[in-house]
Amino acid sequence: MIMSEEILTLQHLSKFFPDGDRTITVLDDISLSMKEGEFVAIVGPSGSGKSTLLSIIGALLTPTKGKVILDGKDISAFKPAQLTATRASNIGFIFQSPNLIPYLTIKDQLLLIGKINNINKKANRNKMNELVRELGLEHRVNNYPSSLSGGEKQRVAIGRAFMNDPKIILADEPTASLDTERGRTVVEKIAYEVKTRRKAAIMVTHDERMLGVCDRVLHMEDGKLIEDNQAEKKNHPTPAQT
Amino acid sequence: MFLALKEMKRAKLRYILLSLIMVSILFLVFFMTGLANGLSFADSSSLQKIKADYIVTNEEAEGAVINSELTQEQFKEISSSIEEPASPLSLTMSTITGKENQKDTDMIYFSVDPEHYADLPIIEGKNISEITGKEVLVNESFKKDGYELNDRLIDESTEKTMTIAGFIENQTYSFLPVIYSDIDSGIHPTKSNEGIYNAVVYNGAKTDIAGFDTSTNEEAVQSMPGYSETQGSFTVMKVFMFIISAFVSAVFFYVMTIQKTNQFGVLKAMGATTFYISKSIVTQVLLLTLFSLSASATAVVGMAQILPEGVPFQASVSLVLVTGAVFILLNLAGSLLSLYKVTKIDPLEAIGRSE
Ligand SMILES: Nc1ncnc2c1ncn2[C@@H]1O[C@H](COP(=O)(O)OP(=O)(O)OP(=O)(O)O)[C@@H](O)[C@H]1O
Ligand SMILES: [Mg+2]
Repeated sequence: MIMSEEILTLQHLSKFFPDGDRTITVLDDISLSMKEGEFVAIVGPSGSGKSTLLSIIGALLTPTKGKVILDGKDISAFKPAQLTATRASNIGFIFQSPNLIPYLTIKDQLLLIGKINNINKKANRNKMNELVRELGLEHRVNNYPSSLSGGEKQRVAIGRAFMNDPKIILADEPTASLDTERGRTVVEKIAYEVKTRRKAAIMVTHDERMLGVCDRVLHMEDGKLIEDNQAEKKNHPTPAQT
Repeated sequence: MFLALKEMKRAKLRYILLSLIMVSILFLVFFMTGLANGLSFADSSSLQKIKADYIVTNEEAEGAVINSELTQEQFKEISSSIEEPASPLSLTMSTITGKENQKDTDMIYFSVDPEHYADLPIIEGKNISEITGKEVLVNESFKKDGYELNDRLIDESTEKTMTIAGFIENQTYSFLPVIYSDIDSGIHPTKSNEGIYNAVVYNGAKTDIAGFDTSTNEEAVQSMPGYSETQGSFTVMKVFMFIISAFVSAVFFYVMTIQKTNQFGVLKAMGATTFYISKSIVTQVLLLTLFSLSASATAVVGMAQILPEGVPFQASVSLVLVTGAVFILLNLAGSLLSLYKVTKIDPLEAIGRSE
C-alpha cells in the first residue's frame, strides 16, 4: 500500500466529556485508515458516539487523546483558526437536513463555497456547472431552496460538500429525512462523486438498506469501532460464496 | 458582500421597512437640527456677528447684554481701563412706521459709536464708519419689504426720521431685524436716565475690569435669556432620536442574527470564518445607514425648498455630514452586539439539528 493513497488515519483516538465529577468516554481508542475512493458506512445505536467521531474527523472538535491525520497533517492539535481553514479546504459536510441558505439560489449555494475559499471565479463557476449537471439539478440552478423537494435539496447539499474539492466527505445520516427510494438516489450520488473524484467518504446511517452502496461497514458500540465483515462479504463476494 | 447583497435582495420587505424607520428618524433629526440652527440664527445672529472681540456688561446681567445697564460714568470707567478704542452698544426695540399701505415693522436698534466700531458685512451702500447724523444701516430684510437706499424711515415712538445709508447682511436679534444707528443721533428711544448703554464693545486683548463682566460674542449668545434652554432642549431631543435609531437597528440586526444562528453555524462548519460572516453583517448595516442617510438628507433638502419664508430653517452641509458620521458610528457600535453573537456561534450545534 502506498502512503500517499491514505487520506485519513485515526490513531488510538479517544474523546472524554466531563460529566459532573465523572468523565464519560464517548470514543474509546479508535484506529482507522481510509484510502481515496473509499466509501465507509458507520452504523450503531443512538448515543454510541458516531456524530462525535465525525465531528472530530471534520475538525469541529478536537480529540482528548490520539491523532487524526488528514492528508498527511495531524489536525488533532490544531488551533481554532487552523481547524476552520482545514474545514474550508479539506472537508465536505453533508448534514441530516440539507441546511441550505434560504436566500441563495442553488447556483449561489455552490458558488458561496468557492468565495469562502477565495477560489478563482471562473474555476468556481466551472465546478458549479459540472456538479449541477452530475447531480441532475440543471433545471433548478436559479431556484431558491424553498421550491425544491427534499431529495433535490439534499442533492444540492451534496454538490455544496464537493465544491471545495475536499479530501474527505462526512455525511451524518444524510438520508434520515428522505424515503427509501430518494435516500438511495442520494447515497448513490455520494458514492458516484466519491468514486469519480477519488475522495474518501464516511456516512453515518441508521438505514441498513443503504449499506450495499458502501465499500466497508463499521459498527460503533459504546465508543468502540468494530469492522463488520458480513457487510464486506456482501459487497465483495468471495469466490466460495458464488 | 455576496451574502449581504443576496439576502437583502431576497428579503427586500424587511430591509425596506427598517430603512423606512431609519429614514423617518433621520429626517426628524435633520429637520430638528435645521430648525434649531435657524432659531439660533434668528435669535442671536446679530450678537454672533458683533464686530468686536469682547463685550463688557455689568455684573448683575451675568453676560446677558439685553439685561445689562451702564451709565455714562461707567462707560468712561470702562473705556479708560481698555487700551483699545471702545464703542458703547445699546439695544433698543422699536417699530418703524410703514410706508403707505404697508404694515409697521418691529425691529431693534443696535446703536454704536460709528467711529469706534469695525466695519460690518454689507450688501449695499455705506458702511458703519461712513454714516453721519441720522443715517442708518438696515437689515437686508427691509430690502425685501420694498425699501431702497436713501429711503426715509420714521420711528413710531420717537417720531424721528432717518435715512437708509446701507443694507447689512442678514442680522437678527430675537427674531427682529437689526438697524445700526449712531448712538449720539438720538434716533432710538432712550431708556432710563441712568443706564443709557447696554454694553461696551472693543477689539483687542481680554481685559478683566473689576465690577464688570467681559465675555466673547459666543459667550454673550449663550447668556441670552432662554437661548441655551431652547438649544439644550433640541440637543436632548436629537440625542434621544439618535439613540432610538441606533437601538432600533441594533435590535433588528441582533434578532436577525439570532434567527440565523443555525445558518451561520452551518457556514462556520463549512469553513467560513467569523470575520467572513461579520463582514456581511457590517456591510448590511453600512448599506442601510448610507441609504437612509442619503434618502433623508434629500428629503430634508426638498423640504427646505417648500418651507414657507417665515420658518427659520438652516441646514448646512457640514451639519449633515457630522450628523451622518455620528449616525454611522452609532449603528456600527450597535452591530457589535450581533458580531459578538456571531463569535459565540458553535458550528457543532448546527450539525444534526434540523431546521
Ligand atoms: N458536548 C458534550 N458533552 C457531554 N456529552 C456529550 C457531548 N456531546 C456528546 N455527548 C455524549 O456523547 C455520546 C455520543 O453522542 P453522539 O452524538 O456522538 O451519538 P450518536 O452515535 O451520533 O447518536 P445518534 O445516533 O443518536 O445521533 C452521547 O451519550 C452524548 O450524550
Ligand atoms: Mg448522531
